[in-house]
Amino acid sequence: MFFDFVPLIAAVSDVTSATQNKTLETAMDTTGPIISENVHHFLPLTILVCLALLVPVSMLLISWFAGKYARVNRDLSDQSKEKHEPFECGIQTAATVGQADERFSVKFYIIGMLFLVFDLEVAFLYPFVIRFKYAEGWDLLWVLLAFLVLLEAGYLYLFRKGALDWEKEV
Amino acid sequence: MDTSTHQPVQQSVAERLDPHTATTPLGDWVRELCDAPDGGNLLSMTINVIIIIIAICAFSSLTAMVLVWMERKLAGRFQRRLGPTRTGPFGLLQTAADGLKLFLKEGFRPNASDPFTYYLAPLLPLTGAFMVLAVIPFGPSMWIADPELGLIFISAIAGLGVLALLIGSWGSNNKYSLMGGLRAGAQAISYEVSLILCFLLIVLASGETNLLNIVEGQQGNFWNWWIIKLPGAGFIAFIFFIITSTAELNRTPFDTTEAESELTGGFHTEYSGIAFSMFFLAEYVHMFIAAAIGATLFLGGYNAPFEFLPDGWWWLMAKSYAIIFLYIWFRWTFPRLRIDQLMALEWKFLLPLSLINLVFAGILIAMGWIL
Amino acid sequence: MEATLTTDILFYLFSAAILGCGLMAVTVKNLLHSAIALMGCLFGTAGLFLLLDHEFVALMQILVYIGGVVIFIIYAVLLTTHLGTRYLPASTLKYISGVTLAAIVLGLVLHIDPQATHTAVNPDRTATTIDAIGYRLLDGSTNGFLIPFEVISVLLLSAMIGAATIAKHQKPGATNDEDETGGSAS
Repeated sequence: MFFDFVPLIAAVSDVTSATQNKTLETAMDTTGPIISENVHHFLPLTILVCLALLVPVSMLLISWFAGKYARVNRDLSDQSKEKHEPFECGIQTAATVGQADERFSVKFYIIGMLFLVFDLEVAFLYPFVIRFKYAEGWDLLWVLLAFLVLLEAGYLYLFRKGALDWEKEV
Repeated sequence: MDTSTHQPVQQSVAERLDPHTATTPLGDWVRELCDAPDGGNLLSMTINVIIIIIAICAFSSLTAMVLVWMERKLAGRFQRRLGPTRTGPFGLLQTAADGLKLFLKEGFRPNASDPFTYYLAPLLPLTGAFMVLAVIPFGPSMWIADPELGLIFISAIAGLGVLALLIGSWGSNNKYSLMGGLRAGAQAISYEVSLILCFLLIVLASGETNLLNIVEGQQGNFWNWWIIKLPGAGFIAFIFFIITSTAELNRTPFDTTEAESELTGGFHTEYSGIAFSMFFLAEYVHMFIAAAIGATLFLGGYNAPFEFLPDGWWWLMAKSYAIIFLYIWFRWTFPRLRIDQLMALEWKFLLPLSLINLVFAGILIAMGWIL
Repeated sequence: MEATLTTDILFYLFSAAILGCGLMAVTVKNLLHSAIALMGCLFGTAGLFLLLDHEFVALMQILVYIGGVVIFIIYAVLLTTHLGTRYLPASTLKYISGVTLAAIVLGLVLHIDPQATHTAVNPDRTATTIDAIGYRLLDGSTNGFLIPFEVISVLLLSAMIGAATIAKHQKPGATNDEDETGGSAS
């Protein structure tokens, strides 16, 4: 088990072991407030994020310096004007070169809106489904069905209106 | 309707929060050095986190190297070629050579581009990949962080992946890039819904959002894995997961984002040198992550297929690489979908069926029809 | 004690991020840059929720606000024309009204609790697990939120129909108008 010697990465059990014991004691009482004084297990993750951002940045910087000294034809490349033009397969016409400010289909916008709706739905379903297993019988299934049937009604309306068809005009 | 009569919440929480403590010799050693043998202090934690970062970097670059090699080799085999053979044994060092070349390439920025967004975009996917790698349980005592809401954390971070594509494509100020970015945006946000619905099914079945607990819940023989344990629903959800994750990864047949023959390179047309290779690296690390999540949720994670075999990280690797093989196989088998077919597949097929599958799984759970 | 110090430091870090990014979001001229600054601001808010041990709310902040709303904003910005060249200047009136509004909110906060404790994060704070949220959400009694939970789907339904309506309105005449304005600006 050579891999277990790599600290992948129980280091953070520094925090997790302490907090989880804590929450175990206090989480029993869910009717009242759950008090946890400890820094929770997301703290190592937060530190990780900050450091993880540094790694790609340093990659960029190191490569910049390495490239600066490794480049042989530096003068040549700096003088080349066409190199810094937008990539258009070498065609230099007013029709292809220039600002990327095309107008796009409104369909993209509808997709975005629908995504927002379903994203919210998912957000509300998370605390629902986690309780599902601990319910008795069909109780929660009716709740789920009532929730989804209403949503699906809207979905069917959009379907019939053709809002989900890419080519069709709404 | 009285839903408050169901089993009180206390037991479930108590069951869920059995503390996962894991220590490794190196972590213990650091803690002893820092004079904090139990619990650890800020210094030991910082040192350990730095060790973690190094481990993650090493792991992800190694994974990407192996995967790129694997993809090229398999692509060759699928097309009755040999793939890379020259650099190192079996061409194994080909990726390393390519990486070194890209590293030393001049990184330049087109004149018309916007510096802030242009340089911000390549940083984001790799950061996201590191964050998701941190919560995947590689083994019973091999994980970085074990938040209770691990699965929700993954779905939240995975949703940010599209941001880099949008920002980068706009920052390049190139029509091909922008078109690729818009397609990527539409595709990623559409398929994300179905992907999260697959996650929801597992949460519904296991009553857990903690990844380690989800894996622990699938212990035993292979019929305890959720793909088989939930008759029918698990398998459908797994297929949906494979489809949606392929789309989220922007891989063929869903690679309208890059679409070499239409958009030259899609959102990374204007990127060169290290910035390009960072996109590339993140793409392959994401591929591993998607496969590992699929293995964790549906295929029992690090659990062995039979009880008498020892559990360990090698099982997760084997399962992940099996899924990765599927991804690669897809890429060299299916032709690319058009954008309208892509959207129709998601909004008219996957989304309603995922919701129905969720209700189906709910019925199975409510009736107790699980293996 | 050390934990409190850490949370204090983190609190000020997150607050600084929120304030800085928020200021950037309203002052930067480029629309896309301000959307990115807004994202940083929301990340800071998620961090504050984390410090309060409300992990689920923090993750929902990331999933819904950053992964949903901000991406939608950026997406909409990408769809509009001439973003790189055309900035939207704010009038002096808007500046004044904005500053006034901020001052009023600050005054209200100070008015509500003038004797607020000055520790960044209260050590006696309460945490909420996703399980507890789900339990209350599905509680059919007067304490629970079962009815609101079901009503949410009506809200989402109306949002969906609204999406279709907006798209529908743009089709017949409005697209031409917008094309004209886009053309005249260039």
